[in-house]
Order: sequence, then C-alpha cells, then structure tokens
Amino acid sequence: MLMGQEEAGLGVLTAGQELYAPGPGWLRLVGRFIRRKPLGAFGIGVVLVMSLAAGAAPWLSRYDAEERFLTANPAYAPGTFEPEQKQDARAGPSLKHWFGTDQGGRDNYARLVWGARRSLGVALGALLFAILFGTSIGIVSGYYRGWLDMILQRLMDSIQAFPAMLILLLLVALTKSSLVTLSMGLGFVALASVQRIIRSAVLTAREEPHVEAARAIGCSAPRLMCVHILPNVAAPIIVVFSIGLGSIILADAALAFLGLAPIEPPSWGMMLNEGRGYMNSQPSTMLAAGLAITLTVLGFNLAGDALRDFLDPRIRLQ
Amino acid sequence: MGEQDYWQRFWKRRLSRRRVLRGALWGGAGLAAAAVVGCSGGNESTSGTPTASPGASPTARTPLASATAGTPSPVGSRGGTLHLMGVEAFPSDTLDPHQTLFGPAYSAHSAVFSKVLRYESIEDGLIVPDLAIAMPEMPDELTYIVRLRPGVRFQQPSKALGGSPSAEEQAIGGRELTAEDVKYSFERQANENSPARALFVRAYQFGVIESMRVVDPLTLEIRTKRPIAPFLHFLANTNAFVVAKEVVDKSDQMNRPAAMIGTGPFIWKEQIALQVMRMVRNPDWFGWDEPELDRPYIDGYESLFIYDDASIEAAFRTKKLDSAFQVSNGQWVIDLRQQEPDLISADSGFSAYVKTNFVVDQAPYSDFNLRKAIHLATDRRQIVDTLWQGYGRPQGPVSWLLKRWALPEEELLKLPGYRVGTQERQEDEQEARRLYEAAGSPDLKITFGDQPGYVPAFAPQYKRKLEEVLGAKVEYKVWPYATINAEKARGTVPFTWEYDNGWIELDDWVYPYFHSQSSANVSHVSDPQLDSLLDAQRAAFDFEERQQLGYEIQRYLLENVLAQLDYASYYMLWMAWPYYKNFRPASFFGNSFHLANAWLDRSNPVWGSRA
Repeated sequence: MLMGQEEAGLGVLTAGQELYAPGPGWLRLVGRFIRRKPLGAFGIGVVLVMSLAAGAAPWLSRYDAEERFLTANPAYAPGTFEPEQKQDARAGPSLKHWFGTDQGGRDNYARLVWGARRSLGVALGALLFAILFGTSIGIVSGYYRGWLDMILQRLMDSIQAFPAMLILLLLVALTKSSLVTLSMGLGFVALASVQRIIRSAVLTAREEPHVEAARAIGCSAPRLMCVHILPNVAAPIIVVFSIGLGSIILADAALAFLGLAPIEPPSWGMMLNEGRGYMNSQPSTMLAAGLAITLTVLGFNLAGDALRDFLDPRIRLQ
Repeated sequence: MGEQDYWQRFWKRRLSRRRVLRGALWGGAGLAAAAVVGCSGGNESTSGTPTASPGASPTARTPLASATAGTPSPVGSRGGTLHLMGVEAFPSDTLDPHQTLFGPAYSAHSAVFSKVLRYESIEDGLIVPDLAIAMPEMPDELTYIVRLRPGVRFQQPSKALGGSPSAEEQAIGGRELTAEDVKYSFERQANENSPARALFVRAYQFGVIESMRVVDPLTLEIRTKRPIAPFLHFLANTNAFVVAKEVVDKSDQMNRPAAMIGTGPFIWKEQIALQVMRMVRNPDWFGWDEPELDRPYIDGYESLFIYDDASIEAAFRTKKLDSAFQVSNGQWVIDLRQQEPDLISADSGFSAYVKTNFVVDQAPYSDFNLRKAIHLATDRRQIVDTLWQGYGRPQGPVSWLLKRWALPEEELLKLPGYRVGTQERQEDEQEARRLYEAAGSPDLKITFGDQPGYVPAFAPQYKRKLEEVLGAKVEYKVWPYATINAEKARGTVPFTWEYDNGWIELDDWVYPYFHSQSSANVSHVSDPQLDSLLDAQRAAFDFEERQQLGYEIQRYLLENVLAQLDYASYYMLWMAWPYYKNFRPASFFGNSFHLANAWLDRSNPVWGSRA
C-alpha cells in the first residue's frame, strides 16, 4: 500500500507533517503543462501574444491604423492631377511597413494590431454576454427541470433552429451598427449552445452528494445554485469561453468581410475583404489578415482543448 | 508598365538553382513570416502602379461603334442573350419612370420607354430624334412643333413573353402612340394638382411649359413660358419618357412591373432584386430611322447584379458576362487585358461622382468659412487614390465628361481645394485651419451613404484627414443611400458624403440644386445673384454665351457658395469579349436603348467557349 502510494507520487504522511502539503510552484506547474500539453501551451502563447497586441495596441502598432503614407510619384507633372507624392498603396513588406500597406496607403501591421483589439474586444463582450445569460439559463433550467426546463430548452431550440448568420444579418439590419450591438448579437447567437453545455453539467452536479447534503440541511435553491452548483460547472465555462472565443472572432470577421460590421476600429475580416481584390498583385494584406485570424482561432481552440483536459480530473489522471 | 502578377513572378523565379540554394539557407524561417514577407516580391514590387496613368485622359483603345447603328448584324448572327454587368436589379424606391432619380432605374426605363428626342452622344451634346421624326421646328424662341413618327406602337409583352396579357397590356391594347401621349407625359410631371406631386423629380423642367396643343394625332405644339435654351435637352433628358395614361393609377403612380409598357426596343421581363434584370426584344419596335434593320439584333439582355471585383472578374473570365468593368480595383482589368489581347478595351469616364451636401441655412454649416475650410481640407487626390486606385478625375460643379460645359480642368486644378502640389496643399490646409478657427471651431458630424461600399470604407480616413488638418472633433455615421436622400429633403442631415449619378447637361447640374425656386434645392441655397446667373443661362440660346455663363456659374459656386462640394469621379476600364459587336461603354446612366445595336458574333473563335 505504502509502495503503491509512493509510486503514484502521492507521498506518505509522517508525524508532524501538515495534512495539505504545498503544491508545486506555479513555474513548475507551467513547466508541467508545457511538457504535457505542448499544443495547448502554443495556443496559450498565441492567445497571450494577441492579448498583448490588443492591450498595448497604441504602443505596439508603430503607426495609427488610419495613417496614410505617401511615396514619390513617378508620373509627377506640375499643374496636373499628378502630385509630387502619391499614396503608397499596396507596398510590399519592408522595414518601414513590416506587412506592407493596403490600398489606402495604410500600414498593414498597424491595422492588424488595432484589429486584434477589436476582434478580442468584440469576442470578449459577446462571450461575457453569452456566458452570463447562458450560465443563468443553464443553471436554472438544469436545477429546476420540469416545465421550466422544457420551456427554456424549446426557446433555445428555436434560436438554434435559425442559421446564426441569418440572425446576425437581421440584428445588423434592425439595430444601429456599433461594436456593442455587434457583441450582443454575436453573444445572442452563442447563448443557446453555451446554456446547453452548462445545463448538462448542472444535471450532473445537482446529483452530487455535497449538493444533496446542502439541500438536506435546508439550503435555499438560489444558495444551492450559486454556492454549491456554480463552482462545479466552472470548468466547462472556462472551456466554453476559450473555444467560443475563436468562433466569435470568425463570425466577426465574416460580418466585417460582408461589410456588415462597424468600420472602425479596423477588422481582420475587413482587411481580408479589401486585400482579396489585390490577391494576385500584392497578397500581403490578405495573407496577414488571414494568418492573424487563423492563428488566433487556432490558438484559442488549442488552449481550450488543453484547458479542458487540464481542468477535468478524470482526463488528467488518465 | 504594368504590375506583374505576383504569382506569375513567384512561379517564374521559384525553380532557379540559386534560388533553391538560397531558399535552403533561409529554410528555417517560420511559415507565417515566410508567407507574409515573401509577398514583397523583393525589389520588383511596384506598389501597385497601374498600367494606364490615372492622370492621363481616358482614351478608347479600340475604335468603337459609330454614333448610329454601328455594324449591322448579318442575318445569321441574330439572336442570343447579352449578359451585362449592372445594378438595374437593385430595387429602387420606385419603378415609376417619372419619379426616380436613381440611375440604374432609369437605365432600365431607357430600354423600355422612348422619348421625343434622345442623346446619341451626351459628351458631345448630340441630340437626335427618338419618337420624333425630325428635330422640332422652332418658329420662335418659345414654340416647338414636335412631329411624331407614324406607326409607333406600345409594346405587347404577352406576345414576346407568352402567357396571358396583363390588365395594363389589355388596357393599352398595343395601340399607336400619339401626340396625346406626349402631352399627357409632360403634363403629368408638371401637374401641381397631382396627388403624387412631390414625387415628380423633373417637375421643374416641365413646369416651364405654358401650353401644349395637339395639332393632329402626330403633331404637338409646345409653348414655353419664356425662352428656355436647354428645352430640347429637357425632351431628351433622363425622365422625359413617354408613357400611356392607361397604366397610371388613381394615385398618379405606375410603380409596378406590369406598368412597364413603353415603345422602346426592349420589353421588361423581370427584375429579381439584387440578382438580375431581364429584358427581351420588342419585335414591334419602330427602329428609329432604319426600321429595315429590324433591330434589336439580340433576343434580349440580362443585367446581372455583381458588384465586387473578384466576382466580376470570375464571371467575365468564364464568359458569364460579355462585358465588364472594375468597381474599385482596376488591377484585374489591366492584368486580363494583358493576358487576352483580343479583348475589346475602352477606358471611359463615368458621370457618377462623390460629393458633400451642406444645408446652408443650418448652423454651423451656414458659415461660409466652415464650408470653405472643409472644401480646402479635403484632398481630392486622396479620394481618387483610395476609392478608385487612381482611376479618377477631380470633379468641379459640372462633370468633366461634359467638356462643353465643365470648367476647364487646367483652370480647376489651379483653384484652392483642387490643387495637388505639395506646397499648394500645405497652403490650402493652412488656410483651411484658419477658416475653421474663424468659424468658431465647431464639431463636425458627417452622414456617409452606404453605397457603393467604398464610400463608407473611406469614412475613417476622411475623418482622420479633417481632424488632422482642421483640428476638429469629427463624428460620422453611415446611413442607407435611400434614407439619406429622403432625410436630405427634410434637412435633417446637414453634412452628407455620398455618391451620386451625375447628370447630362449644364442646366441639370446647376439649376435644380442651387436655384432658390427649385424644389430640388436640398441645400436651401438662396442667392439672388446666383439665381440671375442660373436664369440667364436658361435664356441664352447662343452656345458660346451659355458656355461662358456656365463657367461663371461654376466659378461663383466655388468662390461664394460651396453648398455642394464636388470631389471626384472615376473612370471605368471596360472590357468586352470580341464577339460582342457594337459594344459601347456607358459613361452615363439611362442609355440602354443603344443595346438595340448590339449583336453577338457567333463566328468569332472566342464565342465557342461562352457559357
């Protein structure tokens, strides 16, 4: 038995030793995470880089997103419509413009960095909306079950029955286009699937012995839901958050690509759309925006997968 | 020299030995970085310089069809449906041909309805008879005697489309067009007692008619209240269509497809919103002066609603479109012209333009200093470069396409606000700042139109420009095109930035928008001196005198009014497959009747692969 515990790395308590030995330091934890989940670590790295770009956009972007650059005009002719300098449009990557310039003579790198702020901001707003309402609905629905559950779930079914893009197009058409309404629209679309995941976790958690015990000693339903069930569904919420972020970034990019999202701040989807027309002659705008979208969505998905494994004790022990 | 295709360069270079070795050395570079940095094309990058200098005057590359019928179609090459690119399928506010100023709408009308006169060449001001058998006789400066062609019949769509005739068609019964129809069509637009009075957009033109008398079924005598030099233009203008009163309902409207029955070369088949407009050949069309040609040569045409460059390119390459032009990015046209030297190519200016309207009796835009500050701060070269990648021209109060009337470009480019030299721009921007401060440095709120997409896309850059030059706090919003027009009439959007069709004669450009008595004066301009100039140009029958008055009006607008800031218009890089005969680039909306001359040459080798 003793040998078995040592092999399992659980240690053996001796006299005077504290019952709860301090866990590994956070650096060691990070190291272990990287070793066990290299793809997840890569994903988290990407997420951190993008978050840094979003948070520190004014300092990292080098230029304003709308700053227009000029270059010497070879067709210059005094007194005509050909000035000495013309717009430095669609320039290739250089030391001055790391990812080149777009058709408006604006720096692609600066627009990417400002675009990170917009994409992450919209996605965070949307997910907060979806998680706040989705968790509330999921907990109430899963806890009470019965007719309330049935009504709420059919309502959610009806939301999911509509194609997400159709709902978004409708919302965009009916509301004033702004980042707030865009976030809420994206959050609304994500709401149904978020609450469904939370509800299924609640259905399991409400049958746990500690919840039964709390109920037996007379805890009220709100207390049971908030204090005893909610912490037990925190892991799926975190996973939903990390994986959902990627999908929402994609949806925002799709709306911007279609010209249905607010114009400012710059969006990766919009850059992709604008760069598409010059794919043959100068693909840097399109590639830069496409790579940013791909990397970010991939990063969030990998991070989400790894976190799910890491936070689920059943999978972690396998 | 044209910009080389990036991928062509890439593939040409990729297999050289040195390149392979160098590639191996740098092979450790990350995929993402390689992909992005590789886009530079090294030193070969040309930053997108277009092949044709945007500053050059647009010139036709291939001789185009002559002003009349062009090359007649051989009998064996008749038929087929022409596939064009256009926005006729965009659902406009109304289908009534007398109530719309929406270019794509009256382009469709121009295929279905006829006018007394028509423009053969708008650029040259060449007006020729359409329903009239000859140009109207003018016994004096007030009287016009219009003689109509005999045997012109209203269309019978059911004959061409099959099915049972509509109530409207039955009501007309394919009868002959008479002088009563012409009289009715003009009276309808000028009728002050009409329940739809506010909707007749050219009422101010037909309001100059004092009386009309039907001399006989084919002769109409029109008398104007005073001498009106552009009156023949009014008879050929965009809304001068002759309609049958049987299709007009009790509310004085004909806003329904079944009412689209005219005497033009094509019959309205269907309009599927945002997809396609379909027209079919009118077998009974009168054929202008050459009925023996039995035009239209084609069975019909389809105007496909495709409005982004990538889709247009794909559709043209696969011959789902027989002709095409760029929307914003001309590079693909340049590339395709190089790849397909047999294409018919023509660079033509386009009357549509971008502009700002102020409501000049509303603060803060009632201050001329502020309007002038915005005029000077706006960089027209930036607009052309950003919206159309250099393919455009600066726009004065009259389109540069109307060379007879527009202020000469040499003069325009010397004026503050239009000058593009670095030193001159600095001077203009400094003056703009000074004027803005003199106007009290108010906050600016701009309403941008949402169509075409490049207009709202430019909003952030324009905002930044005004903030940079004026030091102003600028806000903007984007509104639907139709909403802006409605709100402009109500005066609720005092500073707009939008796209407009452009017009076809001096009077169209200046009189309706700046005369204090005009219902289209949405800027609420009220300037007696300007009114007298506008009235004077209407009274001047001598071309040179009227031209000088036109110049004077434009100078006056730029120096003293600035209620509308005209920025720039673009030119289109047209292409057509060589089997498309009598191809004619459209520089203006409303000339689809020219398609009566188009035909498809099936003997052309390129025809075989047409979809």
